[in-house]
Amino acid sequence: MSEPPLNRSQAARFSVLNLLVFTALIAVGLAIGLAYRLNHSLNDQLSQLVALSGRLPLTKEDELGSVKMPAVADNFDSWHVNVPIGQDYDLRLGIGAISESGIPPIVGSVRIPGGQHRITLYTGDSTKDEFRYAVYLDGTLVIEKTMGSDWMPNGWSSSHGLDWPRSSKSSSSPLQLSAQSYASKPNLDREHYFNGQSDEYVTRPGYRLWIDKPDHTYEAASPFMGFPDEPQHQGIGLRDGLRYRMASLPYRWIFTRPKLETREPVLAVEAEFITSDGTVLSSQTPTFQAWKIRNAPTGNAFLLWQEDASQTTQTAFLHAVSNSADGLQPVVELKWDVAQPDAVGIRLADTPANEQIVRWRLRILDGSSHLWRELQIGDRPWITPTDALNADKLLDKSSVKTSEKTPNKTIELESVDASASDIQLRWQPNEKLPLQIVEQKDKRYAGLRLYQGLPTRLGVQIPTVLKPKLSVDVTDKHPTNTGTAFPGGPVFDAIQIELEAVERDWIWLSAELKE
Amino acid sequence: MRFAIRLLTILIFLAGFGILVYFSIENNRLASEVDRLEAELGKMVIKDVNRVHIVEIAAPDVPPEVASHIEGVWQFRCYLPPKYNYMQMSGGGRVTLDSLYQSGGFSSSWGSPPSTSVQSLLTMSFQKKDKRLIAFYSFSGSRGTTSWNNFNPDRLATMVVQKLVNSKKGPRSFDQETILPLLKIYDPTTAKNQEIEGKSITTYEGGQFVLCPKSLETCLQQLREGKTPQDFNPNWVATAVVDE
Repeated sequence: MSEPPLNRSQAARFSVLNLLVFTALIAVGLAIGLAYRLNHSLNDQLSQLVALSGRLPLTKEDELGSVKMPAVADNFDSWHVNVPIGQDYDLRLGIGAISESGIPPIVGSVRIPGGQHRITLYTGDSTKDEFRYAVYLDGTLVIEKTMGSDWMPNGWSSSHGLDWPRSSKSSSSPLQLSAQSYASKPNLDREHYFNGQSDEYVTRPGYRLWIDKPDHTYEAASPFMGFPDEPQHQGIGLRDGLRYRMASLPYRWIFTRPKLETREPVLAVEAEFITSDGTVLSSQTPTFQAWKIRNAPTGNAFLLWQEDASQTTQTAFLHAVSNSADGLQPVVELKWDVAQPDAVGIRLADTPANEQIVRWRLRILDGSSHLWRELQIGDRPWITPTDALNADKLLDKSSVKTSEKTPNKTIELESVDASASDIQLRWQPNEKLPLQIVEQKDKRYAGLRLYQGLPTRLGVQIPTVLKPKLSVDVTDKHPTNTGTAFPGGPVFDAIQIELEAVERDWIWLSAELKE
Repeated sequence: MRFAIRLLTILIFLAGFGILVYFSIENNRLASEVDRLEAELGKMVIKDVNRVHIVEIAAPDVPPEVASHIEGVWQFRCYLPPKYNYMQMSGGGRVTLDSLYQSGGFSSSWGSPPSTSVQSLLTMSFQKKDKRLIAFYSFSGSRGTTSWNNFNPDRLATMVVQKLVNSKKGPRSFDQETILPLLKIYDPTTAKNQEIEGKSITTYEGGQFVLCPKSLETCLQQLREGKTPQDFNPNWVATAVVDE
């Protein structure tokens, strides 16, 4: 059987021409591969060198952009900036009260033409330099502002950079070059070292330098915190006042005031709720799960505050959540008012969940870490824990009842003046210096973990219509070293306020700098 | 069919040639841009990625409005290998010509070692403040100042500057386990013989800036105090470049 003849025109044939073409294709492919690798390597090198040099990338001429130049001197920062041709922009310097959410008052502004420019900021941010700030545009001084040494008379202990406010509503984003806020040094002797720990949301002295559209204006930052675009872990309430924050102990309410240079709780409160049939919700209730912060006295809607410059008060609701459907689940309303910058209002919310409650009790805790040793009812003289224990020397004997509890002594204070509309109670440490300095200087306090903020006076204002019964827990025992006296003498460990739940009036808890 | 194959081959060839021409033009542009920046920032070829490479920038880019406020500026382009764990030390007082001895105040700082290699500019400059000389440094994202005590700022122009790397001599590379005295400045007219740790040495008013591997931190501390560390090997300290 013979095979069919091969069709030479259709079969692949070896030829020198085909070999040359094939070789040429491989050569071009290899050359492209090598050129691609070289291109990749050169691009890497170039981007590294551009980053090192602080030059603007050449590809973004139609965008507003900046690159920071390598720093060559203390207090000087320079940027190469590109401003799109044909568009109007202003270079602005704002100095004054500032926070992560706020724009300080503009102290100088200059039109910046389209094209590439160099901007230099000088920050003479010391009392010696009288807090002088200067801005140079292409080498020419265009903005200069001296705040004066009184701006921060004791200087500042730390500073930190700020981002542009996240809540800023504008169609085109401004270009921020630099922003700092300063932690002013408290008025303390030089030998005292104080380490303040505030946060970037507190209003402090500072500055922002940015490039912006000439018609952009900015409202003052809201005095409140807790809007949806803000981190809830920083607390809700007043930016510079008291903020409610979730506690690690689920039953406890804690309030911080970072303006007093600490993120630690300044107020820790535990409440008890008692119904007419004797049911109690307290920190010991096993079915209690958590306090949930809500937008309304009923329902499960999350807190949703709307930013409105005209709003001077904000409220939030704490809903007790229980494992048991039959469990007592009170709702407590919190209120912040810009007219009361040191305080937070608390009341039982006007909601069916609270109808069974006849009495409630607030225990303000942690006096031993605050060294509360001075207490005042109304405008009576200040008393010490020892005075309270021997109250017959200061008050009518009939007005003080002492009951022994281990390790504290609870002293009831008869305090209601029927003619007054409010009862005011104030208490504070007996120290003038911040307790972290007291802890450093007085070794007896070592290990007590004293409150780290500036000296703080606390207070509560209660309407008499709530028929408050006040009592204080006094301890003279060391909290950890059993059998040892509390260093420096007894302290008020807790303040207890028992109230009738018949009215829905506000109780105002306050924390302010001790004078 | 044969025509189609030929046409396709020609098209591939032309497209390939076009791509090659594009890459060639683009690479020429990039290379000239790299050359231009390397002329400013110093040319540095990284042959061994595990060594520290340093080249001095001959003319640091200093804005004129800043230049009028500083007394002297030195800038180095540095390549730091992956996981290079180092600290930086700056201080002024009295120094010697050929050791790391330094009396007076100093400051040191360090960060966490980078996981990949980094290139960074190291800048040092001096500013006069209240008749004192403030040494400024900026390196790898951190910056700071130290006051160089006993250092007469009015004589800065006549000071001798010892550099580990010199722009005229080109880049140098160093083993990671080497102390790098990048810059030493001293006033030659202030020589004084001192008894330090049982040895008579000549000291001068001046100061120095040193990069040091964290593993040799204790060694640097002892050398700064004029002591000789146990089992000390002189090769642990890089020597300054000498002008011909």
